[in-house]
This record gives sequence, structure tokens and C-alpha cells, in this order.
Amino acid sequence: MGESLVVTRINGREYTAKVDNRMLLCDFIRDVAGLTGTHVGCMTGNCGACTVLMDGLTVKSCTLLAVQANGSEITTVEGLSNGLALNPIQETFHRNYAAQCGYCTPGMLITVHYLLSKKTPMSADEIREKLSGNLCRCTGYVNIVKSVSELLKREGLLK
Amino acid sequence: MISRPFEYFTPKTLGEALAIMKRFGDEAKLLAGGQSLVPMMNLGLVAPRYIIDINKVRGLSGIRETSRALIIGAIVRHHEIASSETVRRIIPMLSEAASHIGDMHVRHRGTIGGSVCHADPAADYLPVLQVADAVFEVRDTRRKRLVKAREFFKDAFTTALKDGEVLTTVQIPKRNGWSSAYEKLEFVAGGFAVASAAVMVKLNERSEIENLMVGIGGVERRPVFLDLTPGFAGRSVGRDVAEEVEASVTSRVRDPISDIQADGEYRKAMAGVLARRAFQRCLG
Amino acid sequence: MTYVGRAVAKISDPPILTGNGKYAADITPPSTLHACFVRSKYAHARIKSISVEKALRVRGVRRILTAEDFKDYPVFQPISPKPYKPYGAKEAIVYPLASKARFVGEPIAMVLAESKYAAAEAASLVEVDYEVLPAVVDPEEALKPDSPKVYDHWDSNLFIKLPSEWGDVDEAFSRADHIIRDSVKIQRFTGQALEPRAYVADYDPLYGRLTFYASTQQPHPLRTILAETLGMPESQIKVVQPYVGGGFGLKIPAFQEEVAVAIAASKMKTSVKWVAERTEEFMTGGHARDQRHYFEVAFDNAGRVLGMKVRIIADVGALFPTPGWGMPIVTTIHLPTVYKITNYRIELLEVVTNKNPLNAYRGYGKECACFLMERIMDLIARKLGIDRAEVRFKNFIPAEDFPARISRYTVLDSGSYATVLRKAMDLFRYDEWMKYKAEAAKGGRHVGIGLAYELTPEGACIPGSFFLQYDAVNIKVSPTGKVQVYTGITSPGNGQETAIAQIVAENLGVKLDDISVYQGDTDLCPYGLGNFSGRSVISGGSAAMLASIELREKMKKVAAAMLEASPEDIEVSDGYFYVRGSPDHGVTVKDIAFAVYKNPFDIAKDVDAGLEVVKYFKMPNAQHIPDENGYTRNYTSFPNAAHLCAVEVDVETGRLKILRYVIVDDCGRVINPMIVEGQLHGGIAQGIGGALMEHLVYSNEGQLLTTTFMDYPIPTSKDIPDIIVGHHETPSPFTPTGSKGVGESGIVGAPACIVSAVEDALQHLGVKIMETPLRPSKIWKLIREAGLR
Repeated sequence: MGESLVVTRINGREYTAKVDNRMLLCDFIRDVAGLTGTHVGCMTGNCGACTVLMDGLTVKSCTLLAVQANGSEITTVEGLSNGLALNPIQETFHRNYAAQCGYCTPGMLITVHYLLSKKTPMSADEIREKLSGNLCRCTGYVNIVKSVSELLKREGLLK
Repeated sequence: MISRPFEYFTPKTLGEALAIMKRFGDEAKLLAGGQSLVPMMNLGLVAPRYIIDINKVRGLSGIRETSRALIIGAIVRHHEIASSETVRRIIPMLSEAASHIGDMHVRHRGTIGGSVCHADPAADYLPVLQVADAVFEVRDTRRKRLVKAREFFKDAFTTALKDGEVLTTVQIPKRNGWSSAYEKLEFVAGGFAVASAAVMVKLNERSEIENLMVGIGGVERRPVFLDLTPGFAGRSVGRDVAEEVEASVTSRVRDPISDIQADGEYRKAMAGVLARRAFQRCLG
Repeated sequence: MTYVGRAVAKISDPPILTGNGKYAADITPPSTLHACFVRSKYAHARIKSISVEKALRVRGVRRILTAEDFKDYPVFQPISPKPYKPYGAKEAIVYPLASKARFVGEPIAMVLAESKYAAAEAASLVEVDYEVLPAVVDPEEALKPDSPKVYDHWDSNLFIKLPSEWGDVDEAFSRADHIIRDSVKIQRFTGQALEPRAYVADYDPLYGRLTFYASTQQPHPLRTILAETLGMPESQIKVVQPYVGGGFGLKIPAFQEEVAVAIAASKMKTSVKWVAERTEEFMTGGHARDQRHYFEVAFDNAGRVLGMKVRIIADVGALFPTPGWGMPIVTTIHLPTVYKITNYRIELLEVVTNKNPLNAYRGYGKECACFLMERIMDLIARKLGIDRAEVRFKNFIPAEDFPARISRYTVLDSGSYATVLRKAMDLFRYDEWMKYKAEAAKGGRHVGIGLAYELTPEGACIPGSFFLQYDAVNIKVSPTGKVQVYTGITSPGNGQETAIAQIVAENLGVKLDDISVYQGDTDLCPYGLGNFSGRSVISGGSAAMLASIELREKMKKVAAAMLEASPEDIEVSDGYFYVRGSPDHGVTVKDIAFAVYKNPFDIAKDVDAGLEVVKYFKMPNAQHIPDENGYTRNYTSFPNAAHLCAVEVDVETGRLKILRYVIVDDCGRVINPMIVEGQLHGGIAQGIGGALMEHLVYSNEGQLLTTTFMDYPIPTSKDIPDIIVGHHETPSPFTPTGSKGVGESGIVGAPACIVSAVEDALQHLGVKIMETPLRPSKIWKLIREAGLR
């Protein structure tokens, strides 16, 4: 009655819960799975702070009901991380001061991770185009674009 | 936050979906990409009692072509259309329009069926599908019917869909020798079109216009379809023709939208400017 | 190893980069009740009755509070209008829930439920009977005698009338070669940090203790506000500021919801949590800007300004305990910014309306002063046909005039404006770009160069408030030689804690890695005033420096005793204290610390026990007792910057592209260049947003039409170009670090710079731009109107 069973895999681990149908995927990730790295900024699908990978594609988890994740594979920022150790993307962000308040950062990292995994050559302008679904209010994007350019250059993919 | 509790269904077949829809009437809403519906529910703008998730319904996905048409399933996602070789080959402006919708994340989930049925005046597909003379296959529990895109959009967020009907495929007739282009004017990246123009033109061997169709989006409460062939057939293409296309389109905008972003006068003028630019791009 | 001046990566990064940083919304103690506010549908209405019957039937709802439940809790005001009484300021008491709504969205009831869905559902079922009153929406209409009043007990809607006069403006106007009369209009917009407000009030009924987790910028003042409002001893309240997802001044307390959550927790004797939705942030999260300046400027044929008259109408909305209404005052007291204009008459009228109250948004009124002066300079240049940079060079306050008193309230301590502007022009490659502009024009393209000089007063110091320039640090060195620094300043992520660590490392003489910095916990940290107005480095950094030096001298004494040398001969480097000239003859911090803690009666007998210091720093140049002329000094630091940009406008659609953006900033001594540049990038991006796309639009009935990021866009990665940063250091004469603060640099000058560029691109079409935002449709309209004239 207004509830559904959700069985889903997040960062390789299975989570099962009976939830209110109104629960959004971002709330399932945060409140049921306890993974608070995914942030909620707007609930209208505009800011991208809630971006996660679902079945290999980036999605804004505030635009999905938790129950829609049944049978899916989800990756959050915690799934890209190992405790407080920094992976190459995180380390590049750290060195280039690409994170200030950190609220947009998890969504940004998921998006960057996805873009790099496609191995598509991009110019700085194309990077800006691809990141335009993730809003940041602190950095002005300058150091984020710089970080992604550096990461692409390392792979010989910077146009 | 969604404040009203609702029941949720995930039918596996179209028949199941249609039956549920018939049972609950206008208290039910279809959930496809959810990129419009879920935000609207979060904002409290809609509060359906029943949600029918059609993402798992068999037979609504896939892009295929026949000898005469390109057929796209209702729940095909924007990113699939944007990157499809088939679509690009047959009707490039559709692929172009899809690549402009929202941002990358929106394109991973949003569907062509959802966008068409939501009928936001600024949706990118609408003018494109009208110019392309697309036909929508629509079904309910009893029958299926075909509705032309040019007759489908009645008003902002209002279509020719009757209660209990689901759009199942979008069918686009193949045309040889046409070129097409889509121009979108947005003020903010990922935002809705303040105005947009879809143009299809066919030239004869002497570079004279044989056919010219223009679709305008975002300017009036529904897409505006203009068959400019009568006024332009036989004309040789040149700069002055492009400017006349602009003037012709502008003059035919009757009831432009005024809102916070722009007033009607601006949108009316932009309809013409974008139509001209799309026309010029068609000519290469 | 020197740390100050180095680009040290943020020590607070690893948790936020790995998704482990905890923000207020991530905290949910056991038995938490979720709050959802019922908000006024009307801009101005008396709440006649509220029916909660239907709402209470929702499963999981525990209680619904209304204004009646809060009538004994007027919110304590951290900044009282009392000092402004001579200027007409009146009191307005604010309660956590309103019985008379003064802006759309004002909270009128509060649902507490076991789940947030139940709370939201119940809130939607609460029935309110309103007596709708006429809404006051335009500040100039609001000043008319027949206007409805926002506050019944006031005689009008005029809140403050503040004059600022200097010299003899009428005489100056009488000898002018030219007079320009015009106006500028800066729209209402605001910050919209990506993290919405969130508060968790964890009330422990056994000890009567409240732990309040808040997305805030001022944990200690918030504690005081809660104590006074709730009638609880301050020692029974702990405020914790976890990671904050951006503040920009808008999380300075106190909001109605903030106080309501704390009171609800104490009433329910359990934990209460509230997380704002984005629509609530737009409606009630504090607004900013919204000023109209009507001006006259008199100048000579050489372009030197002789005098200026300005009338400022500021729409402050309704009133809150938040300090937003101070912004137009700050605009007023800093005119005429960096220009030597010694004859002026300025009058500020702050008007209340039925709109969301203002809160302090980055820039805090200085951007409006900058916009006015920079538009004036461009107008003068245009009128006389001289170069816009030349006009500024002619009018800048020259180096020899410093310290320069520019108004009754403001003394500019130091500045090298001409040098900074020249540096910026070189970095921008001004001559090259002017040529590029001319070439582009030949090809029918509309390229414009923009220029703006920004004065960014920092170190705000307002008497009788929590907005002052003092702060504190508590440094503890443990027996094993590790350093813990507890600071009264806070950092919403821009790395102030890293700057503090760098200052401590350098001045205490220890390794950066041996330092941990703690902030945001009122039980642990000394009473400080959080972050705003660049104060983290100005006050917090200064306190850290002085405390470090004191401890270092103490450790040197002990080292000297251990090394049988005199303290003057001890050198310090990276945790190693040694005799000058004999680097092998030394001791580590750990050695010294163990000596102090374990051998206080022999090795360390000449120093006091313990290795800990609490130090408060007060900016020496604030002056709140008026001098013989009645003058004061309310801002204590004056960073400044030159902006240059190039844009290209598509005149057919009004769309524009920013081709190049350069800023040269003088924030005094730079502690960490990466932090400074990051602040400038972010500030400029916000300024660009305000110039081009952000606008809080109210209907004639006082409904807020822009409540999502769809209607109120903020810049995306496609909207902000690469930003080139240069530095100039004119150290502050008053802070021991030489730093001037950089928190608001960039945002103050960016709108003026962008407008200058767009106008330059369209100049030959006869376009003049005196307002923002410049949406493409607006630019198009300006072009059309100019063409029709």
C-alpha cells in the first residue's frame, strides 16, 4: 500500500528494503544504504549534485524513484573511492584546487569518471559542454576544466 | 518532496500497461524517462495516485528502418537517437535536436515518447517531427490509430491523446534528396529553447527550391508548422531568399509567448532568425 | 621551509573528494523527527486560523506547531537597528512562525513527523484561513503616502534614511563643464549555494543539553542567539558546523527555520531535523542587491569628476534578524570607491516591502557601489571621447593621498590603483585586443572590451553586532609534539583552515603535516565570529600568527635551556630548534614538548607549565567612538582589483560569448595563491551570473515567480571562460600577516566589467547599458530601442 520492495546493487553490494514509493533514488542511496556522499541540491534535475552511474550511464538520482532501481547496478562516489585515499581523478582535483565546498564534487567526479571511461578525445570547450549538467557555485569551473584537461592529456586525448 | 502517496506498477507488456491505464483513468500517469514527471511531482505540480512505469514494457524500444520509414520506439532515449547512425543518415535534424536536449544526464534517461506526450512548447523534438511529417502510433486497450505530428499538438502540454492511450512508436517517412537542420536558441546551457527552428528543404538539379518546410518551437504554445513551398518553389537559392524566409516566418508567428526569459516580440523575431540560419545550414 | 605564500593543497580535501564529508543533512540522530514548514501562500496576509485535523491523521505525524506555540520566543537579533535610530531605523520583532505573513513563503506552521514523507504529506493537508492584505512590491510606490504598510506600527515603509556628504557639491556643480544625469538599476538576486540550509537539533532530555548541527557560517553567534531566544544557558548549547556546501554570507544566522527547529526539539525533547528544498531557498533563503541609483555627476573637459549627487533606493524586503539590510549602507559609505571625488551628496533610502528579507550575499553592497562608479566612468569617457582606462587614471586616488578618508565612515588604508590597472592591462594585452576588436568590426562582428576597477572593503566592523573584526585561536602542542589548532573562524570549503595551518606552520616553526585544524564546534573552539567579509585571514589568520609567535618564543626558551645557548641564538625550521651556525646542535618540538610536560621543574623551570595558548586578535584600525568631527571607521581592510574582459555579441539574437577574462587582484600578502585564485574564479563566476542571467522576479501581487534553477539559472561550465589571474601585493598596514582578505574579490567588479564590455561592443549602435541582468532578449531590445531613436 504505497510501498514497494527494492532490491538493488550499489557499489557492488546488494541492498534490499521495503520503501515508500515516494522515496527518490537519491534518498534510498543516502538514507537506506547510508551512502551520504551523493548530495541533493535541487530535486528538479537541474544541478547534478545527485549524479550517479546507473547501469553504466550517468543519471540524476533525484529524477528517479528508488523503486526504479530494482535490478540495477549503481555506482556512487564511494564506489570510486577507497577510504580517504585519492584515485587519479581525485588526486588531480586535489592538486588543482578543483573542489571548494565539495557539495557538487561527488556528482562532478562521477561525471568525469564516466567521460574519461569513454576515451573520447575532447577539447577544453567540449569538456565544458559535457560538464554543463553539473552546477558548481564555488569554483567557477576553471580548475575543474583544468583538471579534466590534464587527465585527458595524460591519455593523449586532449584535443 | 513528493507529498502524496501513490501506487506504483511496472507492467511488462503493453497490454498490461493499457489495462492499468484504463482502470485508473486520469488519476494515473505514465512514467518513462521521468525527467519532467519526477521533478514536477517533487515540486507538487502534479500529484498522481497511480504511476505506471513503462520502462520495462517489451516492444517500446528500438530504432529500426523499413524501406519507407524510420521507426523509433516510444521509450528510446535521447542519447540513443543522438548517437544513432541510422537516424543521422535518414534524418540528421532529429539526431541534432536530440543532442541538444537538456544535458548529458537528461539525455541518458529522457525518451522521445515522453517528450512528445508531455508537449512542452519548447521541447526540441516537436517542430522537427512536424516538419518531418512524422506519424505517431497510439494504442489503447481496444485499438491502435495513427496521428500525424502536424495534428498532434493542441496547446501547451496538451495533445490529441485520449484517455487510456499510449504512444508506442514514432514513424518518420524517408525522403530522398532533402537536407535538414535544427537551430536552437537557449539562454542557459541545458535550458529549454527560448525559440527553435527545424527546416527541411529540397532543391532540384538547378539549385532551385522544390520544397521548403519550417517548424518553429518555443515561440507559441504549440509548435508552428509552416509549409513555405507555395511561396518559394522555383526560387534560386541566394542571400535574399534566406532573408525572405526569415521575414515570411516572422510574419506568420501570431501569438508568441511572453515570460520572464523573453517577451513575444523577441520570440517572434527569433523564429525568423533561426529559420533563416537553419535554412542557410541546409544549403551548406 | 616557508609555508606562507605557497600553493598548498587543501588539508580538508580528502573527505570531500571521497564522499566522506558530512554535511548537516547527512546527520540523523536516532529518534529524529522530520520537520516540514507550512508557508504563506500570500505576500501579505493575516493568518486568521489554521486547521490541522486532516494533517494530523497522516500516519507518523507527531505534532503540528503554529505561531501560538512560539509566541514566547521572539528571535534574538545579532545586529540591532538601534545604532541607526538617528536615521529613522525602527524595530521589527521576528517570531519563528508568523501570525502575519510579510512575504510569500514565510513559515506559519511546522509539522513534525517520523518520516520526511509523512511531514510533507501532512504539511500539504494543513488548511489555512487567510485575510489577504494588499502587497507592497515596488519600493518607490512603497514610499508614497497612500501605500499599504508592511509594519503596522511604523508610520511609513521607510526603514532607514542615511545621508553621506562631503565637501561642497553645489559649488562643484556650478563650475562644471559637463553634467550627466542618469540612473542605474541593479536587480534583486542572491547566492543559492548548492547545499540548501539544513539544521539538526539534537536535544538530550536527561541533561537538558542541545546539540545543534547547522549549515551555518557563525557557530558561536548562533549559539548565543539560540540561548537568548530559547531562554537556555549558553553552556547547555553546543553548535556544530559540519562541512558546509557553500555559504557566501547567506548562512549567517538567524533564520526563522533555524530557531524553530531548536525550539521544536526542546519542546519535543528529542531530535528535530529540517532540510530546505531549493524552492524554499529561493523564497526564504535571503535575497540581495536590488538597488536603484539616481545620480548626477559633474566633470570638467579633461574628464576629472568635480562632484556627484546620488539618491539610492534600496528594496530590503521585510526584516529578519539577518544582516542583509546593512548592504545598502555599505554601498553608501564606500562611495565614491577608488576615485578622488571630494564633493558629493548621497542619500540612501532603505524601504521595506513584502518580499523575502535580505541576507548578506558576497559583495555585501560593495558591488552596487562599484557598478555605479564604473558606469559613471564609462559614461564620462564616452561623452568626452577619451579612453576608458585614461578616465580612471585621471580620477584614481593617488598613492600619496593614503591613508585617505573618503566618507564619515571610511578610511582607505593603502592602495596602488594605477599600478594594478596597468598590470591588468598588460596581462590582458589591452592594445592587442583593441586592434582585434577593430579588425572584428571590419568583418561585421561585434566585439567589446570591458573594464572595471573594484574596491573590495573587507574586515567589516559594525558596532553592537556579531559582525566585527576580532577572532581567536587556541593552539595546543601535545607532549609528542603534534599541534592542534582550534579556530573561531569557519570555512565553507574555500580552504581557510589550510591558510591557518600554513600561518601556524611558518610562525610556530613546525611541519605542516604535524598540524590539525579544528573549526565549527562551540565546545572546542574559542568564541569567534565565523567567516564573512574576508575575516578568516584578516582576524583568524592574525590571531593564529600572534599565538604561534608567542608559543614559538616559549619553545625557544626551553630549547635554549636544553642546548645551553641563549634564546636569541635559536633558529627554527620545520619542527627543529637549533643553535644558529650549528645545525647538528638542536632539539625537536617533541623533545621540547616532553621537557615542558615532564620536566617542568628542571629543564623547563623558567617557563610556565603547559604548551598551549589562547589568543584574541582585534583589528587596530576600527574606530567606533566618533572623533572630534564625528567620524568613524567601520571597515578595516581594502583589497582592490582591476578587471578586463572581451565579449562578442551576436546582435541578431543578443547572445554573447566571453572571449577573455583577466583580473589583477591586490589582497595584500598572499597566504596561499591557489586559494586566492579559487576565490577569484568563483566570485567572478557569480558576478557573471548576476550580470547576465540571475533575477528574482516578483509578480505585482508579491508572488515569487523564480523558484527553481529553471527560472533562475546560475552559470554552467559553458558560461564561464578560463579566467586569468594576476597579483599585486600592497600589504595591509594593520594585520600582522599583511593580508587583506579575498573572500569578496571578483564578485564586486565582474558585473560592471561585463556590462562595460557589452556596451562597448554595441556602442556604435548607440546602446547604453545602465542595468542588469543582460539576458539575450534584453540586449536585443536595447539594440532595437537604440536603432529606433
